[in-house]
Amino acid sequence: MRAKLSVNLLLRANFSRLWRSASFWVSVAVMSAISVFELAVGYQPRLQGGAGILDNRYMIFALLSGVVLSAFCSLFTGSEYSDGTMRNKVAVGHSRTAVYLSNLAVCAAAGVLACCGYILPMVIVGVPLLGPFTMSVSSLLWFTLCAFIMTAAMCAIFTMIAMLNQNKAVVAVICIFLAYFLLFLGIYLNTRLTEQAVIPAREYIENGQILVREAMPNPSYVQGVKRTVFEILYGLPGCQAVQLLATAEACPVRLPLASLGAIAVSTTAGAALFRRKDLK
Amino acid sequence: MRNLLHANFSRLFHSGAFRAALAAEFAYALFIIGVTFYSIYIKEGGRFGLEEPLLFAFGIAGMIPVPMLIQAPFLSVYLGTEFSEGTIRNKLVTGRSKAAVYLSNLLACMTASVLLAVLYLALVGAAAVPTGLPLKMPAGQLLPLACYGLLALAASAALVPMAAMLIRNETKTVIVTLSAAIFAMFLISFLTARLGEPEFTAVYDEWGRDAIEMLPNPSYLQPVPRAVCRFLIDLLPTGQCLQISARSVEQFWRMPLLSLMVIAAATGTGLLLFRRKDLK
Repeated sequence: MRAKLSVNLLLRANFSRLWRSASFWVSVAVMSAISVFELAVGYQPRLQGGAGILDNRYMIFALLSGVVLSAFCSLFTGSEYSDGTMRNKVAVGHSRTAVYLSNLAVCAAAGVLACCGYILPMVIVGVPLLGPFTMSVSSLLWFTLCAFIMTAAMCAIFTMIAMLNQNKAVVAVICIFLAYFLLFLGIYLNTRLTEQAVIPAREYIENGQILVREAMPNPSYVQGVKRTVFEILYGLPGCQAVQLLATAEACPVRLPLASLGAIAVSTTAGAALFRRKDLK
Repeated sequence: MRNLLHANFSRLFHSGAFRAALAAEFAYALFIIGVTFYSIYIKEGGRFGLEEPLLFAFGIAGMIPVPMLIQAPFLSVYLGTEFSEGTIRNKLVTGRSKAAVYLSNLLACMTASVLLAVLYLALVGAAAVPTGLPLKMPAGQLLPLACYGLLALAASAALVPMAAMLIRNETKTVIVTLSAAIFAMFLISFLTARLGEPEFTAVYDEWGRDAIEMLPNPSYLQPVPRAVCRFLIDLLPTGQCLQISARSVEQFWRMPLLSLMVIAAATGTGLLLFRRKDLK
Protein backbone atom coordinates (compact mmCIF):
# COMPACT_ATOMS: atom_id res chain seq x y z
CA MET A 1 0.00 0.00 0.00
CA ARG A 2 2.82 2.34 0.99
CA ALA A 3 4.85 1.44 -2.11
CA LYS A 4 1.80 2.09 -4.29
CA LEU A 5 1.32 5.47 -2.65
CA SER A 6 4.99 6.25 -3.16
CA VAL A 7 4.84 5.53 -6.89
CA ASN A 8 1.60 7.52 -7.24
CA LEU A 9 3.13 10.55 -5.56
CA LEU A 10 6.26 10.31 -7.69
CA LEU A 11 4.23 9.94 -10.86
CA ARG A 12 2.09 12.95 -9.96
CA ALA A 13 5.20 15.02 -9.27
CA ASN A 14 6.90 13.90 -12.48
CA PHE A 15 3.85 14.56 -14.67
CA SER A 16 3.43 17.95 -13.05
CA ARG A 17 7.06 18.69 -14.00
CA LEU A 18 6.48 17.30 -17.50
CA TRP A 19 3.68 19.76 -18.31
CA ARG A 20 5.96 22.62 -17.30
CA SER A 21 9.01 21.25 -19.09
CA ALA A 22 10.19 23.38 -22.04
CA SER A 23 12.10 20.43 -23.52
CA PHE A 24 8.87 18.37 -23.68
CA TRP A 25 6.96 21.09 -25.52
CA VAL A 26 9.94 21.66 -27.85
CA SER A 27 9.91 17.91 -28.66
CA VAL A 28 6.16 18.02 -29.41
CA ALA A 29 6.64 21.20 -31.49
CA VAL A 30 9.50 19.63 -33.49
CA MET A 31 7.40 16.54 -34.25
CA SER A 32 4.42 18.73 -35.26
CA ALA A 33 6.61 20.96 -37.44
CA ILE A 34 8.03 17.92 -39.25
CA SER A 35 4.48 16.61 -39.70
CA VAL A 36 3.39 19.90 -41.32
CA PHE A 37 6.54 19.90 -43.50
CA GLU A 38 5.80 16.32 -44.62
CA LEU A 39 2.23 17.32 -45.47
CA ALA A 40 3.49 20.27 -47.53
CA VAL A 41 5.93 17.98 -49.40
CA GLY A 42 3.18 15.37 -49.89
CA TYR A 43 0.81 18.00 -51.27
CA GLN A 44 3.25 19.04 -54.07
CA PRO A 45 2.40 16.11 -56.44
CA ARG A 46 -1.31 16.80 -55.91
CA LEU A 47 -0.85 20.38 -57.10
CA GLN A 48 0.74 19.01 -60.27
CA GLY A 49 -2.26 16.72 -60.85
CA GLY A 50 -0.71 13.58 -59.32
CA ALA A 51 -1.75 11.60 -56.25
CA GLY A 52 -0.29 12.30 -52.83
CA ILE A 53 -0.26 9.22 -50.60
CA LEU A 54 -0.82 9.89 -46.91
CA ASP A 55 0.28 6.47 -45.64
CA ASN A 56 4.00 6.93 -46.39
CA ARG A 57 4.05 10.37 -44.78
CA TYR A 58 2.17 9.15 -41.69
CA MET A 59 4.64 6.39 -40.87
CA ILE A 60 7.70 8.64 -40.70
CA PHE A 61 7.11 9.40 -37.02
CA ALA A 62 8.45 5.94 -36.16
CA LEU A 63 11.82 6.96 -37.64
CA LEU A 64 11.88 10.36 -35.95
CA SER A 65 10.72 9.51 -32.45
CA GLY A 66 14.03 7.99 -31.30
CA VAL A 67 16.09 10.93 -32.50
CA VAL A 68 13.83 13.59 -30.94
CA LEU A 69 13.37 11.72 -27.66
CA SER A 70 17.09 11.08 -27.20
CA ALA A 71 17.50 14.81 -26.51
CA PHE A 72 14.34 15.05 -24.39
CA CYS A 73 15.11 12.07 -22.09
CA SER A 74 18.65 13.28 -21.39
CA LEU A 75 17.41 16.78 -20.50
CA PHE A 76 14.37 15.72 -18.49
CA THR A 77 15.97 12.94 -16.48
CA GLY A 78 19.32 14.74 -16.27
CA SER A 79 17.78 17.72 -14.52
CA GLU A 80 16.70 15.35 -11.70
CA TYR A 81 20.40 15.03 -10.92
CA SER A 82 21.53 18.58 -11.63
CA ASP A 83 18.71 20.12 -9.55
CA GLY A 84 19.18 17.64 -6.71
CA THR A 85 15.61 16.32 -7.07
CA MET A 86 16.77 12.73 -7.27
CA ARG A 87 18.55 12.94 -3.90
CA ASN A 88 15.57 14.71 -2.33
CA LYS A 89 13.20 11.95 -3.47
CA VAL A 90 15.41 9.26 -2.01
CA ALA A 91 15.98 11.32 1.17
CA VAL A 92 12.23 11.60 1.90
CA GLY A 93 11.87 7.82 1.79
CA HIS A 94 10.92 6.87 -1.77
CA SER A 95 12.54 3.64 -2.90
CA ARG A 96 15.08 3.89 -5.70
CA THR A 97 13.07 1.40 -7.77
CA ALA A 98 9.99 3.64 -7.48
CA VAL A 99 12.05 6.69 -8.50
CA TYR A 100 13.43 4.80 -11.50
CA LEU A 101 10.06 3.44 -12.60
CA SER A 102 8.28 6.77 -12.25
CA ASN A 103 10.92 8.45 -14.42
CA LEU A 104 10.63 5.68 -16.98
CA ALA A 105 6.82 5.94 -17.05
CA VAL A 106 6.92 9.71 -17.58
CA CYS A 107 9.57 9.51 -20.32
CA ALA A 108 7.61 6.77 -22.12
CA ALA A 109 4.38 8.79 -21.82
CA ALA A 110 6.19 11.88 -23.13
CA GLY A 111 7.48 9.80 -26.05
CA VAL A 112 3.99 8.66 -26.99
CA LEU A 113 2.64 12.21 -26.60
CA ALA A 114 5.43 13.58 -28.83
CA CYS A 115 4.41 11.00 -31.45
CA CYS A 116 0.82 12.25 -31.10
CA GLY A 117 2.22 15.71 -31.89
CA TYR A 118 3.13 14.27 -35.29
CA ILE A 119 0.02 12.13 -35.76
CA LEU A 120 -2.63 14.77 -34.98
CA PRO A 121 -1.74 17.30 -37.73
CA MET A 122 -1.22 14.38 -40.12
CA VAL A 123 -4.76 13.08 -39.50
CA ILE A 124 -6.62 16.37 -38.97
CA VAL A 125 -5.06 18.25 -41.91
CA GLY A 126 -3.67 15.35 -43.96
CA VAL A 127 -6.91 13.45 -44.58
CA PRO A 128 -8.81 16.46 -46.03
CA LEU A 129 -5.70 17.56 -47.94
CA LEU A 130 -4.35 14.28 -49.36
CA GLY A 131 -7.38 12.00 -49.06
CA PRO A 132 -7.94 9.01 -46.75
CA PHE A 133 -5.37 6.35 -45.89
CA THR A 134 -5.07 3.53 -48.42
CA MET A 135 -4.34 0.90 -45.74
CA SER A 136 -7.13 -0.48 -43.57
CA VAL A 137 -7.98 1.14 -40.23
CA SER A 138 -6.99 -2.03 -38.35
CA SER A 139 -3.55 -2.09 -40.06
CA LEU A 140 -3.11 1.60 -39.31
CA LEU A 141 -3.96 1.16 -35.64
CA TRP A 142 -1.75 -1.92 -35.36
CA PHE A 143 1.18 -0.05 -36.95
CA THR A 144 0.62 2.92 -34.60
CA LEU A 145 0.51 0.64 -31.54
CA CYS A 146 3.74 -1.13 -32.60
CA ALA A 147 5.41 2.26 -33.17
CA PHE A 148 4.26 3.50 -29.73
CA ILE A 149 5.69 0.40 -28.02
CA MET A 150 8.96 0.84 -29.92
CA THR A 151 9.07 4.51 -28.84
CA ALA A 152 8.54 3.44 -25.22
CA ALA A 153 11.40 0.94 -25.62
CA MET A 154 13.70 3.70 -26.94
CA CYS A 155 12.70 5.86 -23.96
CA ALA A 156 13.45 2.95 -21.60
CA ILE A 157 16.98 2.69 -23.03
CA PHE A 158 17.55 6.46 -22.86
CA THR A 159 16.18 6.55 -19.30
CA MET A 160 18.56 3.79 -18.28
CA ILE A 161 21.52 5.74 -19.68
CA ALA A 162 20.34 8.99 -18.05
CA MET A 163 19.69 7.38 -14.65
CA LEU A 164 23.12 5.76 -14.53
CA ASN A 165 25.15 8.81 -15.55
CA GLN A 166 24.97 12.10 -13.67
CA ASN A 167 26.55 14.19 -16.44
CA LYS A 168 23.68 15.55 -18.56
CA ALA A 169 25.89 16.63 -21.46
CA VAL A 170 27.56 13.21 -21.73
CA VAL A 171 24.14 11.51 -21.55
CA ALA A 172 22.85 13.77 -24.35
CA VAL A 173 25.83 12.91 -26.59
CA ILE A 174 25.50 9.15 -25.92
CA CYS A 175 21.72 9.12 -26.47
CA ILE A 176 21.81 11.19 -29.69
CA PHE A 177 24.62 9.10 -31.20
CA LEU A 178 22.86 5.88 -30.13
CA ALA A 179 19.57 6.98 -31.73
CA TYR A 180 21.27 7.77 -35.06
CA PHE A 181 23.45 4.65 -34.88
CA LEU A 182 20.40 2.40 -34.43
CA LEU A 183 18.59 4.18 -37.26
CA PHE A 184 21.48 3.79 -39.72
CA LEU A 185 22.06 0.21 -38.56
CA GLY A 186 18.38 -0.47 -39.33
CA ILE A 187 18.74 1.00 -42.84
CA TYR A 188 21.89 -1.09 -43.46
CA LEU A 189 20.27 -4.29 -42.15
CA ASN A 190 17.16 -3.67 -44.24
CA THR A 191 19.33 -3.35 -47.37
CA ARG A 192 21.28 -6.54 -46.56
CA LEU A 193 18.29 -8.66 -45.51
CA THR A 194 16.17 -7.74 -48.54
CA GLU A 195 18.85 -8.89 -51.00
CA GLN A 196 17.50 -11.53 -53.38
CA ALA A 197 18.92 -15.04 -52.98
CA VAL A 198 19.19 -15.46 -56.75
CA ILE A 199 19.98 -12.88 -59.42
CA PRO A 200 17.37 -13.55 -62.14
CA ALA A 201 18.31 -14.37 -65.73
CA ARG A 202 18.74 -11.30 -67.94
CA GLU A 203 18.93 -10.58 -71.66
CA TYR A 204 21.45 -8.07 -72.90
CA ILE A 205 22.87 -6.95 -76.24
CA GLU A 206 26.58 -7.22 -77.08
CA ASN A 207 28.03 -6.56 -80.55
CA GLY A 208 24.49 -6.53 -81.99
CA GLN A 209 23.70 -10.01 -80.61
CA ILE A 210 21.12 -10.79 -77.94
CA LEU A 211 22.81 -12.75 -75.18
CA VAL A 212 21.24 -14.37 -72.14
CA ARG A 213 22.85 -14.39 -68.71
CA GLU A 214 21.63 -17.33 -66.66
CA ALA A 215 20.19 -16.91 -63.17
CA MET A 216 22.94 -17.08 -60.54
CA PRO A 217 23.24 -17.04 -56.74
CA ASN A 218 23.59 -13.54 -55.31
CA PRO A 219 26.95 -13.24 -53.48
CA SER A 220 25.52 -10.41 -51.35
CA TYR A 221 22.71 -12.60 -50.00
CA VAL A 222 23.13 -13.07 -46.25
CA GLN A 223 22.57 -16.58 -44.98
CA GLY A 224 23.26 -18.95 -42.10
CA VAL A 225 24.31 -17.68 -38.66
CA LYS A 226 25.05 -14.23 -40.06
CA ARG A 227 21.44 -13.89 -41.22
CA THR A 228 20.14 -14.96 -37.80
CA VAL A 229 22.36 -12.36 -36.09
CA PHE A 230 21.24 -9.68 -38.57
CA GLU A 231 17.58 -10.57 -37.95
CA ILE A 232 18.02 -10.32 -34.17
CA LEU A 233 19.72 -6.92 -34.51
CA TYR A 234 16.98 -5.80 -36.93
CA GLY A 235 14.48 -6.33 -34.10
CA LEU A 236 16.23 -3.84 -31.78
CA PRO A 237 14.27 -0.66 -31.03
CA GLY A 238 15.51 2.03 -33.41
CA CYS A 239 16.49 -0.51 -36.09
CA GLN A 240 12.94 -1.74 -35.77
CA ALA A 241 11.62 1.62 -37.00
CA VAL A 242 12.92 0.77 -40.48
CA GLN A 243 11.34 -2.69 -40.28
CA LEU A 244 8.04 -1.17 -39.15
CA LEU A 245 8.02 1.08 -42.21
CA ALA A 246 8.96 -1.79 -44.51
CA THR A 247 6.22 -4.08 -43.22
CA ALA A 248 3.67 -1.44 -42.22
CA GLU A 249 0.53 -3.27 -43.33
CA ALA A 250 1.41 -6.60 -41.77
CA CYS A 251 3.64 -5.77 -38.81
CA PRO A 252 4.71 -9.10 -37.31
CA VAL A 253 3.82 -9.63 -33.63
CA ARG A 254 7.48 -10.30 -32.83
CA LEU A 255 8.25 -6.58 -33.27
CA PRO A 256 6.22 -5.28 -30.31
CA LEU A 257 7.33 -8.39 -28.37
CA ALA A 258 10.97 -7.49 -29.06
CA SER A 259 10.27 -3.93 -27.89
CA LEU A 260 8.64 -5.20 -24.69
CA GLY A 261 11.67 -7.45 -24.19
CA ALA A 262 13.98 -4.44 -24.60
CA ILE A 263 11.90 -2.52 -22.03
CA ALA A 264 12.10 -5.45 -19.56
CA VAL A 265 15.85 -5.95 -19.98
CA SER A 266 16.83 -2.27 -19.86
CA THR A 267 14.54 -1.56 -16.89
CA THR A 268 15.73 -4.56 -14.89
CA ALA A 269 19.40 -3.77 -15.56
CA GLY A 270 18.90 -0.03 -15.06
CA ALA A 271 16.96 -0.38 -11.80
CA ALA A 272 19.45 -2.92 -10.42
CA LEU A 273 22.44 -0.69 -11.20
CA PHE A 274 20.62 2.44 -9.99
CA ARG A 275 20.01 0.80 -6.59
CA ARG A 276 23.77 0.42 -6.14
CA LYS A 277 24.61 3.88 -7.47
CA ASP A 278 26.24 6.45 -5.20
CA LEU A 279 24.02 9.53 -5.57
CA LYS A 280 26.57 11.76 -3.78
CA MET B 1 44.28 38.74 -23.65
CA ARG B 2 47.53 36.75 -23.38
CA ASN B 3 46.61 35.64 -19.85
CA LEU B 4 43.15 34.62 -21.00
CA LEU B 5 44.59 32.61 -23.86
CA HIS B 6 47.11 30.98 -21.53
CA ALA B 7 44.33 30.06 -19.09
CA ASN B 8 42.09 28.74 -21.88
CA PHE B 9 44.78 26.56 -23.43
CA SER B 10 45.81 25.28 -20.03
CA ARG B 11 42.18 24.31 -19.32
CA LEU B 12 41.86 22.80 -22.81
CA PHE B 13 44.78 20.42 -22.35
CA HIS B 14 43.55 19.38 -18.91
CA SER B 15 39.94 18.97 -20.03
CA GLY B 16 38.38 15.52 -20.09
CA ALA B 17 36.29 16.54 -23.11
CA PHE B 18 39.45 17.31 -25.11
CA ARG B 19 40.94 13.95 -24.14
CA ALA B 20 37.72 12.25 -25.23
CA ALA B 21 37.86 14.15 -28.55
CA LEU B 22 41.52 13.13 -29.01
CA ALA B 23 40.55 9.51 -28.33
CA ALA B 24 37.68 9.74 -30.84
CA GLU B 25 39.94 11.29 -33.51
CA PHE B 26 42.59 8.64 -32.79
CA ALA B 27 39.99 5.88 -33.14
CA TYR B 28 38.77 7.41 -36.41
CA ALA B 29 42.33 7.60 -37.78
CA LEU B 30 42.94 3.96 -36.77
CA PHE B 31 39.70 2.95 -38.51
CA ILE B 32 40.76 4.66 -41.75
CA ILE B 33 44.28 3.14 -41.49
CA GLY B 34 42.66 -0.29 -40.98
CA VAL B 35 40.39 0.14 -44.01
CA THR B 36 43.34 1.38 -46.12
CA PHE B 37 45.51 -1.61 -45.14
CA TYR B 38 42.61 -3.99 -45.75
CA SER B 39 42.11 -2.54 -49.25
CA ILE B 40 45.81 -2.76 -50.11
CA TYR B 41 46.93 -6.06 -48.56
CA ILE B 42 43.83 -8.24 -48.14
CA LYS B 43 41.48 -7.11 -50.89
CA GLU B 44 44.50 -6.36 -53.08
CA GLY B 45 42.76 -3.36 -54.56
CA GLY B 46 44.57 -0.20 -53.57
CA ARG B 47 43.77 1.60 -56.81
CA PHE B 48 43.24 4.81 -54.86
CA GLY B 49 45.85 7.45 -54.19
CA LEU B 50 47.48 8.48 -50.92
CA GLU B 51 45.42 11.66 -50.91
CA GLU B 52 42.20 9.69 -50.34
CA PRO B 53 42.87 8.47 -46.75
CA LEU B 54 44.55 11.79 -45.97
CA LEU B 55 41.58 13.90 -47.08
CA PHE B 56 39.24 11.69 -45.06
CA ALA B 57 40.42 13.96 -42.22
CA PHE B 58 37.48 16.14 -43.28
CA GLY B 59 34.82 13.46 -43.70
CA ILE B 60 34.18 10.01 -45.10
CA ALA B 61 33.93 10.09 -48.91
CA GLY B 62 31.73 13.18 -49.05
CA MET B 63 29.07 11.56 -46.87
CA ILE B 64 29.78 11.70 -43.12
CA PRO B 65 31.47 14.79 -41.63
CA VAL B 66 33.21 12.88 -38.81
CA PRO B 67 35.34 15.83 -37.54
CA MET B 68 32.19 17.95 -37.10
CA LEU B 69 30.49 15.15 -35.19
CA ILE B 70 33.52 14.95 -32.87
CA GLN B 71 34.13 18.65 -32.36
CA ALA B 72 30.50 19.79 -31.88
CA PRO B 73 29.92 17.96 -28.55
CA PHE B 74 33.51 18.39 -27.36
CA LEU B 75 33.64 22.16 -27.89
CA SER B 76 30.16 22.57 -26.41
CA VAL B 77 31.16 20.76 -23.22
CA TYR B 78 34.47 22.67 -23.09
CA LEU B 79 32.75 26.06 -23.38
CA GLY B 80 29.70 25.06 -21.34
CA THR B 81 31.80 24.57 -18.23
CA GLU B 82 32.85 28.26 -18.47
CA PHE B 83 29.23 29.11 -17.62
CA SER B 84 28.36 26.24 -15.30
CA GLU B 85 31.43 26.81 -13.12
CA GLY B 86 31.13 30.61 -13.17
CA THR B 87 34.50 31.07 -14.91
CA ILE B 88 33.11 33.65 -17.37
CA ARG B 89 31.81 35.82 -14.54
CA ASN B 90 35.11 35.51 -12.68
CA LYS B 91 37.03 36.61 -15.77
CA LEU B 92 34.80 39.67 -16.15
CA VAL B 93 35.01 40.51 -12.45
CA THR B 94 38.81 40.56 -12.68
CA GLY B 95 38.55 43.27 -15.33
CA ARG B 96 38.71 41.41 -18.68
CA SER B 97 36.53 42.81 -21.42
CA LYS B 98 33.72 40.69 -22.82
CA ALA B 99 35.32 40.91 -26.28
CA ALA B 100 38.64 39.54 -24.93
CA VAL B 101 36.85 36.69 -23.16
CA TYR B 102 34.89 35.79 -26.30
CA LEU B 103 37.90 36.00 -28.61
CA SER B 104 40.13 33.92 -26.33
CA ASN B 105 37.47 31.20 -26.22
CA LEU B 106 37.09 31.40 -29.99
CA LEU B 107 40.83 31.04 -30.57
CA ALA B 108 41.05 28.08 -28.18
CA CYS B 109 38.17 26.35 -30.00
CA MET B 110 39.60 26.98 -33.47
CA THR B 111 43.05 25.78 -32.41
CA ALA B 112 41.62 22.63 -30.81
CA SER B 113 39.64 21.87 -33.95
CA VAL B 114 42.70 22.28 -36.20
CA LEU B 115 44.88 20.27 -33.78
CA LEU B 116 42.50 17.30 -33.96
CA ALA B 117 42.65 17.30 -37.77
CA VAL B 118 46.46 17.66 -37.72
CA LEU B 119 46.64 14.66 -35.37
CA TYR B 120 44.63 12.65 -37.89
CA LEU B 121 46.82 13.78 -40.81
CA ALA B 122 50.00 12.91 -38.90
CA LEU B 123 48.75 9.45 -37.88
CA VAL B 124 47.33 8.49 -41.27
CA GLY B 125 50.31 10.03 -43.11
CA ALA B 126 52.79 8.11 -40.92
CA ALA B 127 50.93 4.84 -41.50
CA ALA B 128 49.99 5.21 -45.18
CA VAL B 129 53.19 6.70 -46.68
CA PRO B 130 55.32 3.56 -46.01
CA THR B 131 52.77 1.40 -47.89
CA GLY B 132 53.98 3.00 -51.12
CA LEU B 133 50.56 4.30 -52.14
CA PRO B 134 51.17 6.78 -54.98
CA LEU B 135 49.96 10.34 -54.73
CA LYS B 136 47.46 10.62 -57.59
CA MET B 137 46.75 14.28 -56.97
CA PRO B 138 49.53 16.84 -57.52
CA ALA B 139 51.04 17.95 -54.20
CA GLY B 140 50.42 21.56 -55.28
CA GLN B 141 46.72 20.77 -55.28
CA LEU B 142 46.62 18.55 -52.20
CA LEU B 143 48.31 21.07 -49.91
CA PRO B 144 45.87 23.96 -50.59
CA LEU B 145 42.95 21.50 -50.31
CA ALA B 146 44.14 20.38 -46.86
CA CYS B 147 44.62 24.03 -45.82
CA TYR B 148 41.11 24.92 -47.02
CA GLY B 149 39.80 21.94 -45.06
CA LEU B 150 41.53 23.14 -41.90
CA LEU B 151 40.10 26.62 -42.47
CA ALA B 152 36.61 25.12 -42.91
CA LEU B 153 37.03 23.21 -39.65
CA ALA B 154 38.08 26.45 -37.94
CA ALA B 155 34.98 28.13 -39.40
CA SER B 156 32.83 25.32 -38.05
CA ALA B 157 34.51 25.70 -34.64
CA ALA B 158 33.79 29.45 -34.72
CA LEU B 159 30.05 28.70 -34.75
CA VAL B 160 30.21 26.77 -31.46
CA PRO B 161 31.25 29.70 -29.18
CA MET B 162 28.44 31.73 -30.72
CA ALA B 163 25.92 29.01 -29.82
CA ALA B 164 27.50 28.36 -26.40
CA MET B 165 27.59 32.03 -25.43
CA LEU B 166 23.97 32.52 -26.41
CA ILE B 167 22.50 29.31 -24.97
CA ARG B 168 24.66 29.28 -21.81
CA ASN B 169 23.54 25.77 -20.88
CA GLU B 170 26.07 23.02 -21.45
CA THR B 171 23.60 20.24 -22.25
CA LYS B 172 21.38 22.38 -24.47
CA THR B 173 24.45 23.62 -26.37
CA VAL B 174 25.57 20.03 -26.92
CA ILE B 175 22.13 19.08 -28.23
CA VAL B 176 21.84 22.15 -30.49
CA THR B 177 25.36 21.94 -31.99
CA LEU B 178 25.30 18.16 -32.47
CA SER B 179 21.82 18.28 -34.03
CA ALA B 180 22.95 21.16 -36.27
CA ALA B 181 25.99 19.14 -37.42
CA ILE B 182 23.79 16.14 -38.24
CA PHE B 183 21.17 18.35 -39.93
CA ALA B 184 23.91 20.00 -42.04
CA MET B 185 25.07 16.51 -43.11
CA PHE B 186 21.57 15.59 -44.32
CA LEU B 187 21.08 19.00 -45.95
CA ILE B 188 24.33 18.68 -47.92
CA SER B 189 23.36 15.16 -49.08
CA PHE B 190 19.96 16.45 -50.20
CA LEU B 191 21.40 19.47 -52.01
CA THR B 192 24.12 17.38 -53.68
CA ALA B 193 21.49 14.89 -54.86
CA ARG B 194 19.39 17.73 -56.30
CA LEU B 195 22.41 19.17 -58.12
CA GLY B 196 23.15 15.73 -59.57
CA GLU B 197 19.70 15.42 -61.22
CA PRO B 198 20.10 15.00 -65.01
CA GLU B 199 18.58 17.66 -67.28
CA PHE B 200 16.81 15.04 -69.44
CA THR B 201 15.53 11.55 -68.67
CA ALA B 202 15.36 8.80 -71.27
CA VAL B 203 12.16 6.97 -72.25
CA TYR B 204 12.95 3.40 -73.34
CA ASP B 205 11.16 1.16 -75.83
CA GLU B 206 8.77 -1.57 -74.67
CA TRP B 207 11.65 -4.06 -74.29
CA GLY B 208 13.58 -1.56 -72.22
CA ARG B 209 16.59 -1.71 -74.55
CA ASP B 210 16.77 1.48 -76.62
CA ALA B 211 16.06 5.06 -75.62
CA ILE B 212 13.35 6.38 -77.93
CA GLU B 213 12.82 9.80 -76.44
CA MET B 214 14.48 12.26 -74.08
CA LEU B 215 12.12 14.18 -71.77
CA PRO B 216 13.03 17.21 -69.62
CA ASN B 217 13.48 16.17 -65.98
CA PRO B 218 11.11 18.21 -63.74
CA SER B 219 13.53 17.73 -60.81
CA TYR B 220 16.40 19.37 -62.70
CA LEU B 221 17.30 22.64 -61.00
CA GLN B 222 17.08 25.79 -63.08
CA PRO B 223 20.06 28.21 -63.07
CA VAL B 224 18.96 30.39 -60.12
CA PRO B 225 18.02 27.61 -57.63
CA ARG B 226 21.08 25.69 -58.86
CA ALA B 227 23.35 28.63 -58.03
CA VAL B 228 21.67 29.00 -54.60
CA CYS B 229 22.20 25.27 -53.84
CA ARG B 230 25.82 25.47 -54.99
CA PHE B 231 26.40 28.56 -52.84
CA LEU B 232 24.83 26.91 -49.77
CA ILE B 233 27.04 23.84 -50.13
CA ASP B 234 30.13 26.04 -50.49
CA LEU B 235 29.09 28.34 -47.64
CA LEU B 236 28.46 25.71 -44.97
CA PRO B 237 31.71 24.43 -43.41
CA THR B 238 30.21 20.91 -43.46
CA GLY B 239 29.64 21.25 -47.22
CA GLN B 240 33.21 22.39 -47.78
CA CYS B 241 34.67 19.55 -45.70
CA LEU B 242 32.54 16.95 -47.46
CA GLN B 243 33.54 18.30 -50.89
CA ILE B 244 37.21 18.16 -49.90
CA SER B 245 36.88 14.61 -48.57
CA ALA B 246 35.24 13.55 -51.85
CA ARG B 247 37.78 15.59 -53.89
CA SER B 248 34.89 17.21 -55.74
CA VAL B 249 35.75 20.88 -55.20
CA GLU B 250 34.64 22.96 -58.16
CA GLN B 251 35.57 26.50 -57.20
CA PHE B 252 38.85 26.51 -55.30
CA TRP B 253 39.11 30.24 -54.80
CA ARG B 254 35.66 30.56 -53.26
CA MET B 255 36.05 28.18 -50.33
CA PRO B 256 38.64 30.01 -48.19
CA LEU B 257 36.81 33.29 -48.78
CA LEU B 258 33.52 31.79 -47.65
CA SER B 259 35.20 30.19 -44.60
CA LEU B 260 36.64 33.55 -43.60
CA MET B 261 33.19 35.08 -44.14
CA VAL B 262 31.61 32.47 -41.83
CA ILE B 263 34.26 33.11 -39.16
CA ALA B 264 33.76 36.89 -39.41
CA ALA B 265 29.94 36.67 -39.38
CA ALA B 266 29.83 34.18 -36.47
CA THR B 267 32.36 36.16 -34.43
CA GLY B 268 30.63 39.49 -35.16
CA THR B 269 27.19 38.15 -34.23
CA GLY B 270 28.48 36.27 -31.20
CA LEU B 271 30.42 39.27 -29.90
CA LEU B 272 27.50 41.64 -30.40
CA LEU B 273 25.02 39.41 -28.62
CA PHE B 274 27.48 38.43 -25.87
CA ARG B 275 28.19 42.07 -25.06
CA ARG B 276 24.49 42.68 -24.51
CA LYS B 277 23.97 39.47 -22.55
CA ASP B 278 23.16 39.71 -18.85
CA LEU B 279 25.50 37.26 -17.13
CA LYS B 280 23.57 37.47 -13.83
